[in-house]
Amino acid sequence: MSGSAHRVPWGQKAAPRGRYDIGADFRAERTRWVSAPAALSSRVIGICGLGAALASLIDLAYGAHAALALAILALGALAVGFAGMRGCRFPPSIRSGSLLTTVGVAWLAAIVFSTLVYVATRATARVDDALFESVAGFTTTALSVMDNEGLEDTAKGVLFWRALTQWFGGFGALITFVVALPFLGVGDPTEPVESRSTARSTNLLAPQARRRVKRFASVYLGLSGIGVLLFLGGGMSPFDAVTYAFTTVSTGGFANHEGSIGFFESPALEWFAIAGMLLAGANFALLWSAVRGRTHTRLLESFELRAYLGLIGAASGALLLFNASGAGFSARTVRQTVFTVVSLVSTTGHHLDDWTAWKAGGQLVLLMLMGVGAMSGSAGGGFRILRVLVLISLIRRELARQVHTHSVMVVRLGRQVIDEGVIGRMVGHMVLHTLAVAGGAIAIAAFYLGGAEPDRRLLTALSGAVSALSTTGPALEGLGPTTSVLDLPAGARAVLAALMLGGRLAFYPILAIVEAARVGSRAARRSLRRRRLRLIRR
Amino acid sequence: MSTVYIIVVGAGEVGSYVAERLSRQGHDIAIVENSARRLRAVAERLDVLTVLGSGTSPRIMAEAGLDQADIVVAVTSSDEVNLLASLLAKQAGVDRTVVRIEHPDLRARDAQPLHRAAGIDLIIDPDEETADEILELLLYPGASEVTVMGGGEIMVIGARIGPDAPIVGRTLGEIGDDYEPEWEFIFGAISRDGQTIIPRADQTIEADDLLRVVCKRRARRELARLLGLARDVPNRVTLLGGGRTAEILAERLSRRGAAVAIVERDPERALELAGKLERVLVLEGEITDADLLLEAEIDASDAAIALTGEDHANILACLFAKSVGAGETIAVVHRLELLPLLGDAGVDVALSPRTASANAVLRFVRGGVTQVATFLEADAEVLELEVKEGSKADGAKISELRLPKDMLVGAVIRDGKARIGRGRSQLRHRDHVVVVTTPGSVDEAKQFFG
Repeated sequence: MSGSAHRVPWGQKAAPRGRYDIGADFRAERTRWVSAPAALSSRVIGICGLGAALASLIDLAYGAHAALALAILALGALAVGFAGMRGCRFPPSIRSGSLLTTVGVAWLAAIVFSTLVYVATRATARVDDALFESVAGFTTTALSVMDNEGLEDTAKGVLFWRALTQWFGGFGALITFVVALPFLGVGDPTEPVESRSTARSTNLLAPQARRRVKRFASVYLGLSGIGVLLFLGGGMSPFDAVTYAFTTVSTGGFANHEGSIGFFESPALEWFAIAGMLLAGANFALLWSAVRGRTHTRLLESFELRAYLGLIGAASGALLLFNASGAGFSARTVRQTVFTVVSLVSTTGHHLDDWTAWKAGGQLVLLMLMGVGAMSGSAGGGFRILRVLVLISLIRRELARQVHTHSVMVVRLGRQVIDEGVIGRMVGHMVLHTLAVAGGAIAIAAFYLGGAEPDRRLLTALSGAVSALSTTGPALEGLGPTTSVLDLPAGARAVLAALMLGGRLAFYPILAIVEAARVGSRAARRSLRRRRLRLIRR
Repeated sequence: MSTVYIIVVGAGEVGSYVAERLSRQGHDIAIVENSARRLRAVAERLDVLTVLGSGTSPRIMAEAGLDQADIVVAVTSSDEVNLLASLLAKQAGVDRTVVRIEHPDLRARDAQPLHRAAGIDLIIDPDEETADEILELLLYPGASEVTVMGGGEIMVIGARIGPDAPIVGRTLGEIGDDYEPEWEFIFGAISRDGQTIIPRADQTIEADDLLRVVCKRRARRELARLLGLARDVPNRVTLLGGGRTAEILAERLSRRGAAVAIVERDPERALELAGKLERVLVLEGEITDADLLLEAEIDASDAAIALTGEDHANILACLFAKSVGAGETIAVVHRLELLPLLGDAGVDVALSPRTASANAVLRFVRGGVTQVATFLEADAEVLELEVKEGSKADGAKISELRLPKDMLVGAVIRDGKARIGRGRSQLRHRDHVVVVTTPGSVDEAKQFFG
């Protein structure tokens, strides 16, 4: 951010006249374009450029199928990033409305760049497929248009880039909600609700925000590092270990092989993946305090964590009973069931076996798990356990109020009292979420023509909408873990992509962009009309 | 006892009552208060030095005679003022200070360095002490006062005898004979028609007597039967008024598994209570609103406790609760003159928040006395004293002491074990004795044992 190397801090003795011109500093500062969306987007593209450069180098090591295209794109992105660093700066503080727009624009910029990568490397057949793959990547959804086309033959650089988009996306979502948009009520449940920012403007460079970014980054990097080491120890090649760690820790779920983690046929790797997904779906602020040691005994005091573990345990138990054959449970069944439950609750989307072959009741449990999703403040998505718990408490209060009309009651998360304003936002979010599922399912069903059995469409559309909205990916029936999303018509895929984006960003940044565009176009029209009027008067 | 010079800061409910009790015992009292109205009210009733101003002002405190004070009792409703007054007193070389602190954070363990710095010797909290007292009453329903002494081994239970009680019409001697050789309780004082006596064996118990009984903890059940008191731990309690006492009470009761409802007038306070207290039903409204009380299901509650600052509302609410069938009604009454009216009117127990705190202060001021209980309606006090080495009582039997008529040794506690005091009981130094006496003989009692 510092414009010139010669800056003298206030209060220090100024340099002798003639040698140093303070005015030049101000002029330099004035020439920089103050725009939050441009500043953030250019930096995000710059970071993507670094990733693409790394992918290019890796591709070079594995036969250079796409190294040149990746390198050219990387250079372009780095140039954009560098230009942004020099020519663009953040305003000192941002209103929450324009912060939403800024975040939304940055996400779209990253997605557009990734689309260029897939198009340039010819990894996908069509441009809209490239866009879909990019959206699925950055929203950490395990729906891929590349799945069944022989992933073995895809350039390693592209596979790395694909995993990297999920890794970026997982961290991006975390930062978006916990640091940049805490006023959406999705933030960090370990902090008292009252202390959460309700300010109308945010200073992203405040020490508080910086400290949180650092904490989340260290947890994320730590988890990724542990993931790589575990997968290496479990017998993966270095390339697979890195990419699978990326897509596991980010709750992304992209795989380099048909059959996901199941490809390796290694129980140890499967347990490692379960642990990784479990941690990625847990609240990172809790993980941080657990690692820092001071409060590890308080870890289980978190009501949401207990609910998260309880949900996983209860669902695993129920599904084991559902799927039990006369012979009882084999170690393999237990592993597959727990893996599936953790994968869906954490909204990762890795799979071991095809759960569309499970009994109907079990599949409905899975649908519910996809919908609920992971903990707040985690890399995972979904409606989130925190909101479910608060809304249950809200329901209890409203029922009790029917009995005692004068009673005064609060909504709680465990022992913590939830602020009424936060409850309102959560109810609003629930309505939005439900409408999105309903609208998405109807839209998918409208586009979806495939399959000989028309009654399969209903569950495919519904589960597809739920799964995409929670950024899980695989769903039920025609969208099961072993079927390809390419079997769906392009229109249905577009609906899925929109749901993923809406789900990952909790709609608000997208809505903010739409709103800004609407207001902007109205203003443009108005000024046009005014100009016309002026012409007529003349 | 030699005269002690005491400065009381704050002439509110607690301060004026403490001043009254202490001055009646012949101590030299100064009261510092910054409300002229309150100060005038005290000056009209008590013969004490009154100083108008803040207890945090060195000038005002000097005017009240800080340099010659032995004890400063800071009992304003502001914790900060009380702390500062204590600090000021210690700086001026005052020997001991008693401070009222209400905020839980200021009472917590990590606030102890602050207490040391301010030189506090005793901390009191009227709300918490009132809550304690009510809780004891709830656990011993029918009793009008319950005081625990001797490290919990001895209870002093005050109760009005119902007409159906099995002991009505019998003499104390006859009752005592039933329980030979080892008594579990002893009748300490009997109040009848406004007069209190320390009874002897030939005294007959009549219906409607107000008794104080010193009793071993394990015999409280048997005693409750003899006194004709019902005994059920309350399952449902309705608290009328949501002040701090109610908050403390609600928390303790719900921890014991009782279903608690609180009625509070102020919406913000009601919300705060709802946030602090899980599993407690908080209703917003006036405690004299009959429909609201029925919504709180006061007719089905085992106890209704009115705790607001308004005596008339408390009494009205209790009357209503009784009329619709609430089990026991307890009212906090701030004006002691009203107390005699309430016995027949449907308020089972009336208590004043000032007495509990006053007891703690009195105990402290007297020194050497480890416990003291005073009673609202009766002219009797119950003291717990330690028998000092070389005192008259050391090595003597109680019958050899020739105690005056208005004095009775209710219990002897030795090594944590309690026995009811008999003429043949031998006393030793380091024993604790529970003595029932009239207020005028407190000093005399101390001479026997200390």
